[in-house]
Amino acid sequence: MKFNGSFILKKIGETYYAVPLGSISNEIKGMIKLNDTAAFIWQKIESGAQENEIVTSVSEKFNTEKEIAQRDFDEFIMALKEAKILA
Amino acid sequence: MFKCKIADFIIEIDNKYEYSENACRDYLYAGVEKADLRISLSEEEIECEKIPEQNFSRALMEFTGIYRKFHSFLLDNNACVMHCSLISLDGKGTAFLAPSGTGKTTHTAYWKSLYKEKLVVVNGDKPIIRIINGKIIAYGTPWSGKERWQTNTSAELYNLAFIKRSERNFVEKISADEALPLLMQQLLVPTEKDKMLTFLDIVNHLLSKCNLYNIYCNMSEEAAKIACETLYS
Repeated sequence: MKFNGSFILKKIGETYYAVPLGSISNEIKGMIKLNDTAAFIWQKIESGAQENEIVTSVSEKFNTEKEIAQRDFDEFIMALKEAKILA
Repeated sequence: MFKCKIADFIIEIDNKYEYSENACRDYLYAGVEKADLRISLSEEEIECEKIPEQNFSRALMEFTGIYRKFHSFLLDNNACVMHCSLISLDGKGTAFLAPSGTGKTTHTAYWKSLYKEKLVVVNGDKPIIRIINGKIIAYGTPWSGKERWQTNTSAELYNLAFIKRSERNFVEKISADEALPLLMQQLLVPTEKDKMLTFLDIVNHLLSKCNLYNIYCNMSEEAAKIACETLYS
């Protein structure tokens, strides 16, 4: 699981944004605002972590049950795939 | 060919048309320092500046193309261009930002008539912003819009003020989150990764260091007075 290089993650002020690069910026005007969970998962993917490790980390960091962390992970991955951000 | 000094960068311009040298007359440089950047445009590159519905001369298109190449260089040097009207009062800079046609120029004109010689219009359209030792410095440039309001000077930028038309004149402070989309609309956003990282650092700097305001105004002298009382209190 890795990114295709069409976006970078950047913290501006207190908020994380996914910023489009290259030709994708002609299709997506502006930036995508991420909540804390999404930004955390993004950074984990960037570091090369796999699904199980990411879900466990989300559960620990946000003090939430593993099933909820798994659901958040699955939803975010689906959104990334729809936006064609993953390789 | 001529040399000019803009935002403390020395640029050598190999121009095909006299227009650019005339437009840069307040920035001409006769010193011996080496150029930071050399710019020349081919006829094909000039042609790329053509906008179908506008009847711009090739001379003006070359001037615009020079600006575009200069802007690319700026992002490699911790600087960028901001579309705004930038004034300085008591040595403190304020940028008035808004989409074209909202009233930046009219609002600036009221500040000029109220504060006369105390007010400097650094640039009425495209000042350059540089981050130097953590400070945000705004510079005049030859790209100054229809009114040609520009001064070859610099000012530390303290305020970003987003102009909005309103019946009632008032000013409100806004957060970085609220200011970000308004600011992004007035910046030339790069697409390459390395330039984007510098660009976003500059954006971050602007939003964290400057006071951020919405100025609601009905394009009157009173609007300028109320805005000034808040921004320069």
